Amino acid sequence: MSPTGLVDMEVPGTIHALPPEVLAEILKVFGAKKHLSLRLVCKRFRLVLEPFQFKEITISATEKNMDLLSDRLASLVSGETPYALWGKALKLGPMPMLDDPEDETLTLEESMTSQRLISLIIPALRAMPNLDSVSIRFHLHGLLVEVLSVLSQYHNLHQLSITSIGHFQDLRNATFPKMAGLQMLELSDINWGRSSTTYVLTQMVAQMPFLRRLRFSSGSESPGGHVDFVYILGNAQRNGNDSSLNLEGLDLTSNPLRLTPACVPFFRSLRRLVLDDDIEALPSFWISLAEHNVQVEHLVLGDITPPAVGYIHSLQCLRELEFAPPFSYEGLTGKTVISRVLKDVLPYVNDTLQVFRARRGGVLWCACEDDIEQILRCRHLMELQFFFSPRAALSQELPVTALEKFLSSASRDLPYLEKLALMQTGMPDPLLRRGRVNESRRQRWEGTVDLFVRTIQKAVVTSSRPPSFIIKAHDVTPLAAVPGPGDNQYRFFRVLERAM
Amino acid sequence: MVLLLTSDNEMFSVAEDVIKRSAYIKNMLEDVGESDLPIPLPNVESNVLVKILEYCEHYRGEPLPASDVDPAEIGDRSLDIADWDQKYMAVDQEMLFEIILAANYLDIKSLLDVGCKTVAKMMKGKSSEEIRTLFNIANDFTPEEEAQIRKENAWAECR
Repeated sequence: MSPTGLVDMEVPGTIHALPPEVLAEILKVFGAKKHLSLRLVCKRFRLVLEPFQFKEITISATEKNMDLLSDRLASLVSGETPYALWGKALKLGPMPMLDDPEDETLTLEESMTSQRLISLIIPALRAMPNLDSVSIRFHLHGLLVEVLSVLSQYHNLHQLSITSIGHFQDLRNATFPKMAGLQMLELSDINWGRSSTTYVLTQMVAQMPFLRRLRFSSGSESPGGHVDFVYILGNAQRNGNDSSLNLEGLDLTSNPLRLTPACVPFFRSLRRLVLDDDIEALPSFWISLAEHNVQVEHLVLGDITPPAVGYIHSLQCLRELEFAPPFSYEGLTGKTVISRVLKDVLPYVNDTLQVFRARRGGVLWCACEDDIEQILRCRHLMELQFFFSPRAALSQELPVTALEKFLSSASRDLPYLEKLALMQTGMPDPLLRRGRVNESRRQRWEGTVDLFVRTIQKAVVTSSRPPSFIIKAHDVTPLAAVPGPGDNQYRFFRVLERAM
Repeated sequence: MVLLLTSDNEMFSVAEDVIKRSAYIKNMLEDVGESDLPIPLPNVESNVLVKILEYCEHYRGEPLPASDVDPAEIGDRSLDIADWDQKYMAVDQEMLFEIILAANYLDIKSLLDVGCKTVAKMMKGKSSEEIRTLFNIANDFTPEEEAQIRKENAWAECR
């Protein structure tokens, strides 16, 4: 097993009598932290523990470690740690100081640190031949092609995710290397125009013949017109050596892309489709998907449209559905949209649906009792995300009785439900998270969330069996059911994450 | 009845449903069929076999665990050990390791699991130095090697 033979050196009557596989069985019950102290016991322990060592390496900037970052990269490069060889997943970034190393507000020292970090990236990747997944979340400063060239040598590499891909000027004449093993590509925050985006995506995808999942999102600044996806896929296929580009997963966010029926031949195996609001999926695209019997199992949409609903009717095994109610739908506007969309969609998928997420959209989610009943008929739900505020009450006060009724029904009717994400209608929680608001508004929202959570804690749920689910309300710690105050009654309390 | 011959040449006659807890013997009986010949166990001494049979006897009649289920896979990573098993495992270290070895050789998954948990439990909460003392393990690292491992550990802990 080892070149030194140490692992095989078994001494009768002692712990060294145990063969390595049994010793491994003993040591594997411990966590990563204990493994660190166990590998100090003796050579045999250290060798046996080697396969359990950390496979995922994350190097990112925090306030405390800024000055250590380049040392850590340098130690990977120098080979003084075995983690470079053990590492299978590498996550680099975020590193805010790399976003613009020529930023004049940087001190000389910070600027030098940035330059040193950038100079270490390629050597660090070269030192890690066993990588199968790489995520880079900082500005690459013209290194993209070089990064891809190193990674293209790694046959295990199947997943690549790059944020802040860089300036188009750096890629205008680039030749991209072939990446035969790559199955999943994620490119985010691309702030180029239409022709540049089309050019680079086409060139890159052409070198990835076995690409199965593509995630692509552009930044908010993308100017000018729709990027034609068919052009990208078609040209990628013609330029590539392999002719079977066949996506299983497609995830497109906030970018000017247009999906047309001509895309469908590339989507025959599609199982997961995620389209954000700004993607223009033509009605004929949905019709064509249905005609070609493309059976997605996971569908996440921005606004839902009648043609998309028509496509959902053709699905036999939809497990996950997320959508936002549009501003108008089939001639309806305002609150009636929600009821109509739910009636149009849920009865067709309630035998298979396991995850349903209501997403904030053009109209506020404020479901009436009939709507809730529609949802509770999806008996196999394991995860439900829902905005709670019955129609009458868009005020800050949440009516406890309505909540009690809803939670009791959910306990009774949804036996498989594990997670119930509840949000209050009209509460802009994503903004709260991103911290883009002024302090007084933030305080008001935090107050509302607090009130919402306290109302949930007041609710007494009546159910013949304990609720199987935890409640996630906005961003606070989850709430779990505990028995009481009476028989067949339960209340929800906050629990420590660790106890989950 | 099944005849077993230990490494120190002692013969044991054991009821088939008792010893079938050993997947090794069970498979052998299924492959060879009924036979009067003893099954040789060159890796097991008689004092250890007595102990193993005590375990098999205690769990006689209880369903055998599914052979291809790895306890780690079904999420059983805790160090909980049943009361009877704890008492059964209250032996000196030499015997403890002999039981684990025999359980491994005879392929008695539940006993191997209890043995491994027992040893792991002994290590729990102890420093590397305390573990060396407990199991009489020599520190075979040179000071340089030890320093290198500490450096690697610091690397992994760095946040």
